[in-house]
Amino acid sequence: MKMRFLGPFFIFILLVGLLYKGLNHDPAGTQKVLLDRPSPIFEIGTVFEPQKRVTEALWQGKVSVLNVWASWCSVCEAEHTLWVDLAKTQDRSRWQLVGLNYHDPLENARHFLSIHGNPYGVNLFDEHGTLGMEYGVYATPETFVIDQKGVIRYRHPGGLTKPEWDRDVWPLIQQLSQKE
Amino acid sequence: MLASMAAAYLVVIALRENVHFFFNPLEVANAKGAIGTQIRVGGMVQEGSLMRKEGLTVEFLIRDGKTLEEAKHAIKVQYTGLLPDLFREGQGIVVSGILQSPTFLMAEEVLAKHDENYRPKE
Amino acid sequence: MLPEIGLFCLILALCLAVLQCALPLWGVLQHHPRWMQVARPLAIGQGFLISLAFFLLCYLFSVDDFSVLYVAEQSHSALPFIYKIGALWGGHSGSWLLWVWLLSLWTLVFTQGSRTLPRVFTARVWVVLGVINVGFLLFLLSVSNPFLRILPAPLEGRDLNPLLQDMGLMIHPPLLYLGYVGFAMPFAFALSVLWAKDIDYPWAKWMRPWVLSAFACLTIGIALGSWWAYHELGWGGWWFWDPVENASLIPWLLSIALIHALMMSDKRALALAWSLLLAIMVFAMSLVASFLVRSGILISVHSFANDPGRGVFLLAFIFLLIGGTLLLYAYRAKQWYSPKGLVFFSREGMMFLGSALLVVAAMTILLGTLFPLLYEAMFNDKISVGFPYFNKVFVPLIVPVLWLIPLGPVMRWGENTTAMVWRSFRVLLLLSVGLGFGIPYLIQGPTHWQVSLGLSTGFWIILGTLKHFTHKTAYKIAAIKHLSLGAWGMLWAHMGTAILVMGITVLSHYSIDKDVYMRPGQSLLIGQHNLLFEKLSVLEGPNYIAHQAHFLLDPALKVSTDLWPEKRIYIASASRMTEAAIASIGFGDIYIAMGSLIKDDYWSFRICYKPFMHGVWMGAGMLMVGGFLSSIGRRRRVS
Repeated sequence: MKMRFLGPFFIFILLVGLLYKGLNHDPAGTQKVLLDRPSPIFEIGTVFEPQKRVTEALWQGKVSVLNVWASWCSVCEAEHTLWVDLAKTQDRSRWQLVGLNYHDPLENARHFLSIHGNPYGVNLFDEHGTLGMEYGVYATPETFVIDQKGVIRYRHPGGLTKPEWDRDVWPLIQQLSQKE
Repeated sequence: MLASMAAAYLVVIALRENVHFFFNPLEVANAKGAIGTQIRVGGMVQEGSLMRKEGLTVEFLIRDGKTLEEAKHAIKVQYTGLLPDLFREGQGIVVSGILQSPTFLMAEEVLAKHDENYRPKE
Repeated sequence: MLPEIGLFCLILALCLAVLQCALPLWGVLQHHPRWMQVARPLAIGQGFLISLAFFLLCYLFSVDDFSVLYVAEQSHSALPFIYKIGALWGGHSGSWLLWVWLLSLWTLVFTQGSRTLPRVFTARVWVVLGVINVGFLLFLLSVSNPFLRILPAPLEGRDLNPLLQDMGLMIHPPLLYLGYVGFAMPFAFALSVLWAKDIDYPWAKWMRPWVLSAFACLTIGIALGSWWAYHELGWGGWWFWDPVENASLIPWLLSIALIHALMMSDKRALALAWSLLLAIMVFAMSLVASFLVRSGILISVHSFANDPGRGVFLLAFIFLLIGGTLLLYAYRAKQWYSPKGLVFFSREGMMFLGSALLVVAAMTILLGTLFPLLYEAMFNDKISVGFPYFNKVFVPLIVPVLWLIPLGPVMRWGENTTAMVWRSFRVLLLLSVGLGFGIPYLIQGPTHWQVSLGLSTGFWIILGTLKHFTHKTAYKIAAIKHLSLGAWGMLWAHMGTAILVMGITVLSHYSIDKDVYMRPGQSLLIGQHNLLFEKLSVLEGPNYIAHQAHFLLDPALKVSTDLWPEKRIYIASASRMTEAAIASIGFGDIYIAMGSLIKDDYWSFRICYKPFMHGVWMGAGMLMVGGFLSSIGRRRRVS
């Protein structure tokens, strides 16, 4: 094998290496800069009062944590204990926990809450997932932090863990609630 | 072979002149940026900060969003021209221009960042 | 039910692809003709299945089946029908299905086109194509499945990004992809050649039509993307040295190098190893281009959403396929390499120099595009590479290539003396430079040297090509009828290049961009033309509300033109969009894009004067025609 013919191969290896490294990097800090936008407008019922009309005015005045969940989602079930815990221990004067029940029949949602406990102040009932779609939800669970003016400040797809709450979410809530 | 050398020479020169550093607002405020050079800054447009000045000139603030510390450091940006359609207060933005001081940038280009839920295609 | 059928078709196609790798391979190793021949029906079967899946997805879009996650993400019931189909390739998974489908179309063409080729050779090509298809289908099924369901189905889709709701979306991606995947064919040919020992086929001749047609598709694909950006983005720009644009330009440049290298390989059995290497590189760069767009490692207005998982898969596939190929090249290229070298001052010398310069130019673009990544990897600091870098580096490299264009055809194969060449060209040289400097001077006095250089280059190519043609027809009109399609192809392509170059030259130096604010009743002078802002109205569209301005171009003239730029707000997504208004003046454009309401009834506008903009589109179109003509031309001669 003549060396000159191996040249292209080595250059190619370097290229692939560089691209691979690029994959693990965060392009232009997108992860650091949050693409905040105001919450979508909606009018929706709750799990326990489906006839009630709750709108985005729900977010006004208090920092909210919106947790998208479903009874058929096993990761949500695992995550649920965290919410029950946090609802008891974290200072509720600063924030409210709002649930978004996603793609669930009403009975299943209620059943789930009766077995596993209901940490949510308000639980929006999104049977067809249309509201979730507006928030860009793909799969459950997903958690959002929304400030007192209704602007989405943070988004965590997948199950939230206590360390992540302590590191990312709770400090953000404190920071946002101090602004008032 | 000569061609490659010529090319390499060109590349080095052109690169040196045209590589622009990218900062977030906090880094700029800490005078990491070189004043008087052309840089790029990426951050979020502060709500309520957009002000229309004379004619097509606008001013607004860019800040970083995540921590309390970073949010304190907002950079003032002045730009003359049409703002892109995706420009919105509370949205991500990248501006390119000459840094006048650790807190003021004269923008030559404003590039709005695409919401991650919109995926424009080629 | 239907989405599941679509999915099933793809899975079946994957199985067939695996067979397509294995069985002909067995056939080649065991010298068993039957196993080699089985590739053809397998390929046809795959083509059929993939087409079925593709059309099923089209159908799902057209009936607004929002139970399919991808349809719900990309479409909306109020979307005009044609954009529902376009929405199919508006996001990642659908566009990858488009990619795979277009590849299957090329393979179907190959099932017919390969009938006259030797069996063993085609069997090897089938194996390679099979491997590629397996990789692509695996990628499709594992991380980009367009048939995923979302249940219960949302009542309404998320709507197609308004930026994409334009005719450009309908044709740009399909043509672009057609070009990219088309390069899989010469790639497979090259592999087949390298794999074999001691073959005597005129493989260069066979490769050429494939490269030429893929080149033509890619040319028009890129041009359409550029045209679309010009119309849609509201900046009046048509090329941004954006990473994704660059990614498409690199294989394009390399394919031009390949076309000319193949000419040398075909006609004079020269630069064979170089042709093989280029064939590999062109396809490799096409794959890298698709990787760059889909992995999210580079920020661009074009890129898909950031998804590193997809990126890893695709990169791994590229690494294995191209890496393996290059190893094979390293091992086998020696038999194609002649150490004798080329005579510099000859037709082949010039062509080789041209192709080498093209490769260097392509590599500088690649470097510029990836440099931010490289810098960040080394210094952990984020940078961006400015627009001027590309112009400064690319232009000096490409100008020599352009000047070589007329030299090649007129010079002889083998030795040429300087005296002879000078005699052939001195008149031309004087004429070109004279025209290039003289014409602008006559029109407007002293002109920037770059403009004259650009124009001279254009004239040089035009005159040189004409000279070559008068030679060929020996100055007889009747002989024109007997020119081969290949010759016509070259004529169109080279002339197209000249027009393109002149268009770009004039545009770069004479276009005027103004950001202004005006109220109805005011007028503006730009490039010796008058623009009157008549009035502003509010309109309602199928899925948007618009502010529309009415401009009159040259109202004083008897024939004045109307321009209607708009600013739209799309209801479903609450996003703003600019619909630029473009009016043609001669070979140029007046371009108006609306900004926003400044105060009272003053609106901001970007108004551009783009002289000889059409030169760019015409030049690209001519290049495409040339490519197609040459690709058919070759085939005719063979049969």
